[in-house]
Amino acid sequence: MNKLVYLPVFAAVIFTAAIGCKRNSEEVVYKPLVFDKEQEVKFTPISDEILFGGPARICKIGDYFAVLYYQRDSVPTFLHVFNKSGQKMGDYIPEGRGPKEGLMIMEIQNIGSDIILNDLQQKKAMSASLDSSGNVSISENQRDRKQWMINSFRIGENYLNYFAPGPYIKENRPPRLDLESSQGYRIATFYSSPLDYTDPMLRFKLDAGGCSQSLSPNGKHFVITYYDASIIELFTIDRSIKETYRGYFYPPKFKVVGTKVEPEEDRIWAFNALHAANSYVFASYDGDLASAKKKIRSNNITVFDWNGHALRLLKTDYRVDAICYSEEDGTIYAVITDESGRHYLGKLKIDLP
Amino acid sequence: MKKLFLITIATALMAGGAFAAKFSSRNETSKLFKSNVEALADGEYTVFGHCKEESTYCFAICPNCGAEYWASGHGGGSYNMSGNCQLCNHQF
Repeated sequence: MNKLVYLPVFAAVIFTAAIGCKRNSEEVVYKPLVFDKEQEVKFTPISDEILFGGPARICKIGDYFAVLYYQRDSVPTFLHVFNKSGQKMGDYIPEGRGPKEGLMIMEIQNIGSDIILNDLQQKKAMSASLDSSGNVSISENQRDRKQWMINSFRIGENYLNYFAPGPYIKENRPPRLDLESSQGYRIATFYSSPLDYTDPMLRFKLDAGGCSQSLSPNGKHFVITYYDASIIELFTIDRSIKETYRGYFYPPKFKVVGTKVEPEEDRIWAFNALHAANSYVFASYDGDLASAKKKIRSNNITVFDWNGHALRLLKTDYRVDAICYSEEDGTIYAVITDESGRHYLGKLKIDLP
Repeated sequence: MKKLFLITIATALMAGGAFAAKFSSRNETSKLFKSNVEALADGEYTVFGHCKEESTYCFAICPNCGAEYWASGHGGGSYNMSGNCQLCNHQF
């Protein structure tokens, strides 16, 4: 009889141990990032110094570059068009609350000869069309933006939305990603996160303001990288959102103190500028400790294929603040910064498999 | 009696030291936020913090309601955010 009493206790111990083993087996293993080839390369500046302020994005449209950066001026502007020789053709979208003005534009998306710009604060999307002479016409439409939506990309008539829900939201949390029809209903959702195992406040900090997202021009591939954690996620988008690769290379190093997330000295600076091309992913990368004393940070460019294969580590001579790749001429175009903090447009011819 | 007196003095000194240390630390924090006031105060908001210049942009989101605050012209992720959200009045 006494032995029978101990039986449920024994079963509970076995069950707990089994759960523990399962959790351990699911623990993430970080492996150093290893590239097929590492090479030292040099950018060629193609413009005069530009009055750059973050955020920055660049895309090549025919013989022109559309560049997003906040230009501190008497009338600050967000969108800037350069020709292929690096001469500025015009500044567009002044800061303000009026028509064709912006307040908080952090992302541009290139679709054909159009640039889509989302203003997070004014909940509107603007479209800038470039003609073959480099003239720009701007239109805008109001778009209802859901709570916790940080970024949005247009795919045909649909939208791929990126969310970073707050740490206090326990019920009805939005997904990390959803594919939304033009009528506003959800076609597909994606919830899983590489940061599921960490503190909700830390996850929020990294998801909300600590990562970049990019959609390939053909709308089929999507990528997320983190500034302070060497993690990359690749997705295929096709009426569904399928994660095809998740690479863990170096963990985030933050401590959560109350409601604050404080960076630790032994964290590394990971990915920065991000660009999804149809065939490859390009991301500028630092790879050193935050405390490292270097003249230039984030001067490396990593190149991945869409299977997560790390193809190249290009060690450049400038900090890379924004990046795009032209498949036409096999050239990277970027907003670059020299050791003295001067900013330019630059180009870099590369050879990829 | 003498022993009790010494213990009282020692306790008072320790309490004073702890208070001074806390006050000094608070001053340091205050200095940190003041030195970075421009970070997220370009608009009419009351959110302060620290921007990592080398990254692509710097912005913060109220963890309670999702309101966005950004530092126009600054780069980088944001750290040690502090402030009062104007939309939901949440202090973070």
